[in-house]
Amino acid sequence: MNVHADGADRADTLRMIDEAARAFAAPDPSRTRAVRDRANGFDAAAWDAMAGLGWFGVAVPADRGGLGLGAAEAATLVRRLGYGGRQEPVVGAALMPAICLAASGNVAAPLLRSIVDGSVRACVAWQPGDGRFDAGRCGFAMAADESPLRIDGTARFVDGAAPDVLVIAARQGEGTVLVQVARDHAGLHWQDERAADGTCLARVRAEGLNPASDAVLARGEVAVTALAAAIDWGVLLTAAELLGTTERALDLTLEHLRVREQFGRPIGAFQALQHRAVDMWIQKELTRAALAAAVRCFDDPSADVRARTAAASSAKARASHAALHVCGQAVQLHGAIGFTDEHELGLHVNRAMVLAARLGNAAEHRRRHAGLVRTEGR
Amino acid sequence: MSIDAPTRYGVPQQHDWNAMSDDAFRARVREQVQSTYPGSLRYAPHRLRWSVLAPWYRHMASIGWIAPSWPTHCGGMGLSPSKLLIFLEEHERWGVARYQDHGVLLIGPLLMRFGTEAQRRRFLPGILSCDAIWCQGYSEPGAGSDLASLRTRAVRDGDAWVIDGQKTWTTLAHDATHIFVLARTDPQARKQDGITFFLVDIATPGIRVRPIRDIAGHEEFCEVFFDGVRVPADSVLGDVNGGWSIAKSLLGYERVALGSPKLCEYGLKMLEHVARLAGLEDDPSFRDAFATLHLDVIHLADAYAAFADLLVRGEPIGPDVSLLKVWSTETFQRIADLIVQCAGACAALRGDTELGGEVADVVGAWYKARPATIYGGSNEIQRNIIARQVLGLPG
Repeated sequence: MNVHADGADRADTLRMIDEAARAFAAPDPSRTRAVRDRANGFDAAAWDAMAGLGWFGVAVPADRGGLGLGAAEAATLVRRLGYGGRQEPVVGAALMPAICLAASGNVAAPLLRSIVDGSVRACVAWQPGDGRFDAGRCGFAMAADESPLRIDGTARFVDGAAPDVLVIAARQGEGTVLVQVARDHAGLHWQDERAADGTCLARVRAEGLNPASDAVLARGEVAVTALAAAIDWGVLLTAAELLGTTERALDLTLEHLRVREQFGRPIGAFQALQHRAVDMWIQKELTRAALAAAVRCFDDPSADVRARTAAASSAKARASHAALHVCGQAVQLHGAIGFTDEHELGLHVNRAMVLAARLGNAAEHRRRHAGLVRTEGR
Repeated sequence: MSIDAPTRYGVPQQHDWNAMSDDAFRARVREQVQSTYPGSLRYAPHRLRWSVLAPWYRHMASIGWIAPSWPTHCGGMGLSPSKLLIFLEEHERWGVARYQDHGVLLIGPLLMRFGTEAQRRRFLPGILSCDAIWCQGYSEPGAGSDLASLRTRAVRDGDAWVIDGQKTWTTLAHDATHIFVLARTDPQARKQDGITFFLVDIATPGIRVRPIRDIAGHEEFCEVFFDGVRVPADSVLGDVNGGWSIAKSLLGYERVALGSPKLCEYGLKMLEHVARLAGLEDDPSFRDAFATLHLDVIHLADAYAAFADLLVRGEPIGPDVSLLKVWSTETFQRIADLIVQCAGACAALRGDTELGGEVADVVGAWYKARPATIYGGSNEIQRNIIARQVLGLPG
């Protein structure tokens, strides 16, 4: 589906994206804190700048208005944003809906274009109240009688800092329908739930929601496949963002161990602390390896969907576990300063709490992975 | 395909293996291993003695397959890093038991790099024919992780050196014909600087080998005593007092091979087998624990692949490779712990026991997992290396 340049060119492109994202998202804790306190972590100017760089279309095929690159580039980009403590919902309000719409057919093209150019923020809304995230479980239902269309139900954990448009995934009988609905459409009720990192996740209730008949983006197999693809990418890229967060928390801790002196020497000279730091680093390295393997699977045109889903779960299981392990240890190794809001570490700890739980935590993905590979082996 | 230089030491190679496709080479190795390796020796739970393994390895030697990594002009197969990994993977996949292979892994490459032509001519043919089995005389009762404080000494006497002291934890010394020994030759120098590397025939008068019985009931390692052992002056490998840097110059692929996921993958199979026999296969808490371990092993394999890729591209292996040793051995311990828990009361029984109507060794993995975190540089030493050399933490 993606138009890839040859190996050398692709490596250059990847390096360029990596460097651009690094420069864009250099860690700036006072900025992150200010944006968090002023605007729930969403900086409109930063959003427009990222759109201007073409990043929101990174994994969208060139013939659909994207950069036509792949998982390697998308993961690198998001990882750097995570390292820099950026909280704008790039995965939830740009990359996931873009993947979903790119797989949804021509009727979705105008909305896809608006997402890629940054003029519209859209979120895929499907997770039921218990937070399950598989494509087969939608919080919304659409009535069988379609004159007019009617949707009822509730979705939670809608990301996107008050998105302009919802892409609602609703059950209809045994099938699935994707429908686009403007934020202020009659029959939609929004309630913000405050996340650990200061961002907001919305609980959206639809009650007698009547979208126009041309709001349907996809149905049946196409709709389920598009939703599942968006979820797979969301899982993979959230793992990438967690890796960035984990790397920053580890770097801050290593720096603290080098410079903080007690008992007349840097505390990093104590072997007990060195070995704990090594165990944090090992978890980070395992995340890097698992993510790289998953990215290769996503970028391999011959890999089947099941392998892709399993690879995403593998990476997210490790990334979620590693992030919480590293952040928990990081607080301990920093001492009391690590528990204060004024230190940069806390921003990453809170971000890790949110991202580790988002789209399936470590335990959920371990079980999901086991289910996928177990039935495969029989 | 012709081979550019004729071998000086072993059996000439019949093929230019590197010219084969990876798939064809893998199939060739697989066929060779599966058709000749005795089924009863697959996946041995502990190190096997040379008397058991010798017939098969001598056969491999006779067809020139004993030294896969050595260049062809030295009697090896001359495999490229990628072909070498395939070769090793196929052996591990079939559960081929390792013999005491220090000759091929260590002494051969060290001779090629540091040895004289006379030494190469003297020692390489024996390694290639499996007539010479080498063991490692590094650790001492007072020098384990702090190896550089070793006290075995060698004193020059005319055209010979006289070695006195004691080595220990010498794996399979009772099967060996030769031992390489680190001995102190300059007591005044800084401790790393006064050490020399000796190549010694174990039949030399004054050497006594005593096997040590381990807690699993096996005799895999030994003490080796040196009492006025006279060895010729040309037993020194490299420079006198230059032994420490030779001992430290492990080749890249060995450090990567130490972290191979194969042992853990075998452990997972064993774990599933024991859980099935114990009726726990579908127990939810077992499934959760198994899923966690399974991903621990998959991510080890992912990390291993990245290092293997560096090897294949000919790039240097950094100190971060210690990650593989730490994670593989500790993951194997967690797997072995769960096998023991699943086995319940049967874990009190040594060796093959009856469980769920079948016969299984439910404690073999647990015992095998113990020394794994100690040898090859204990995991504490590996963590020290990572802390200093990778994380840049102060000494």
